[in-house]
Amino acid sequence: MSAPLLEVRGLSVRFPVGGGLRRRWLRAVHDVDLTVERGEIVALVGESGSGKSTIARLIARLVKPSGGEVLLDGIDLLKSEPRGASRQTRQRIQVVFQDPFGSLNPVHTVFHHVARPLQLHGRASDGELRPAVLALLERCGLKPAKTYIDAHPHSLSGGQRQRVAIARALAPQPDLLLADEPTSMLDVSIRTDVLRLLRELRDTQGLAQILITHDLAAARFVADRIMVLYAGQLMELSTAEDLVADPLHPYAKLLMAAVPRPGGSLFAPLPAASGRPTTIDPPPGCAFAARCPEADARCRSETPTVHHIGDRQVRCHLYEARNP
Amino acid sequence: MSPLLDVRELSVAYGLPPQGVEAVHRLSFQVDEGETVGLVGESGSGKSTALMGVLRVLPPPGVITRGSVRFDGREVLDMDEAELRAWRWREVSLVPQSALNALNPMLTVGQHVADTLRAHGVRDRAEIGRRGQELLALVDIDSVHLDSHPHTLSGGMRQRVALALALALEPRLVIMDEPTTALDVVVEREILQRIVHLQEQRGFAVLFITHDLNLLLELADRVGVLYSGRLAEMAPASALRQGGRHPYAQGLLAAMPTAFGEREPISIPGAPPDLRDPPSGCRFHPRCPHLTERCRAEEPVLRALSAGHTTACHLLEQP
Repeated sequence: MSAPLLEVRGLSVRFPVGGGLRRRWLRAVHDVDLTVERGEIVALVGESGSGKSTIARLIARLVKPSGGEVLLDGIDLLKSEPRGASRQTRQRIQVVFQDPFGSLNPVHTVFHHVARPLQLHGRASDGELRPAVLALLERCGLKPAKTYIDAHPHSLSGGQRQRVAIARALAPQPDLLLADEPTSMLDVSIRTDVLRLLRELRDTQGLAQILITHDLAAARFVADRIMVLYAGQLMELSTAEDLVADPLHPYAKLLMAAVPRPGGSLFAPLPAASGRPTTIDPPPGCAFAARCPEADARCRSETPTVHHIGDRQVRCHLYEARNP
Repeated sequence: MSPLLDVRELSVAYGLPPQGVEAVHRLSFQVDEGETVGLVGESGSGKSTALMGVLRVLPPPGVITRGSVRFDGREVLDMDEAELRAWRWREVSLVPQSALNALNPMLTVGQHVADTLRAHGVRDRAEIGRRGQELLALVDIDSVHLDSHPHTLSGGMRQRVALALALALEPRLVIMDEPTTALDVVVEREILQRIVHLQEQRGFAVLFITHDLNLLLELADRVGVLYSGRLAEMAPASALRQGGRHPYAQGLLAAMPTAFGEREPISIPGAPPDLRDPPSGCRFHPRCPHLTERCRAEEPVLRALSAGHTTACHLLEQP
């Protein structure tokens, strides 16, 4: 088997809280391993504060990690590089942000937004620029592209703006797309189309993607595998179907139990209560132990390691026995 | 028995013609005592405007241009300011979308409760203190938080405080405007569970506004699907779970990805119309898979399919 496109090993980041002698550390991401193959979409799912967006920012090198490695085709992105080389690796990873109203500049046309990265990364000469932009817009479902290319963002709907943001991200011909909640600000009837576009980009061009979302239904629709995060740690990593049909980790079970289920009952109790993990100077043991219905004394004293069960990964003492 | 809330042919416009935009057009629906009714719609569907119209808290230049809003037989649109003040919160209260914006950052939770009670004539300090403790207990918040300021509480706790305040005067109807949209899924679930439990104990009716149809199919007794300021379909949740009858309601149901079952979502082509330049005839016709000539020319009116189930679609008219 060839090496994965992206390999993340032991990724960690902590942020200082307070200053001077009272400085403490917030553990935002802790010891996360993740691989993404070419042509694969992995979704990162978790509640606010789970570290899912921070992981995307670390991979995009918008945030500096405290530890760990991020390898793209075997090249460690976190090692300092000469400026030129940095631009070359940067263009291989592109980001689509949550807010299509904030990520596009209101004074520039669609053409400008998509043409700039083509120019900056030398993907098209001046003469080829317009046809190249038209082709990218078409590929992102803005058809006929001629009607959109000279428009300003304010005249576009949220879904159309997000397609422009995706076209812009595709311009440098990245190998990996990081999509951070790309549909959470869109209307329901639009959302599915944008998610479907991400799937098409995977299927037709083999574009690898990391989708950050809090929406398990969206993750299941788009992703091949889903990673459930809590307190900046991997709790479970499984194929999308395994995760929704048979979650293993108690926290993944809780998330699935909380998803609205038409015809379900709001009188059915949840397996655990809501709450927040301690991320500032966290206590020893499992991050979920305080809320976990299965927790015992060991869970509160000893941090579980990641156990591999077939192609699934679970950070929970319960699955230790099955670990070969 | 007459309904608790009876909205008839309510129209709301922002500004007056010819520049004005009609955000809600001839909207009719009822909420019975103790019932949960949901209104679902996308941005621009008029769901928030409709509820502001019902409460008569429309920001200018919003105006009610026609229709009637009856609460327990009394016409809300005829009430003067004093009558409105007495009616609001005592009879009908609101849980807003963002409790952080609704709560005053300078006041403690206890002061919010005291303000609410005093504004409606409760003067006795011991009584106010006791009621504050009771209210927080209802929403499962420790009474030490009577002394907490809103910013020290989590999003879920703030939303539960807003729910407690809405219940302070034991209203008969609680209007909820996307009260759980900004919350994580587990917290959202807990608040919805709290709402249905309290409703069972206290018997108040709920009018719940959201863009999340899956949530309403679980929570509501009846659901109204709004499109471009109009009711496309109003049906028992059980009937909508079967798929709905109006093409937009069907489309919305089919468009949502689901975490359960086998279904592959099918999206609705196009986008909701611009209210400043709406399409002719049926507002949904440019996106409708069952379009006929009549749909382009003539706007369908709301008709009953069966008891408690109405739609506005030419295709569904009984011959």
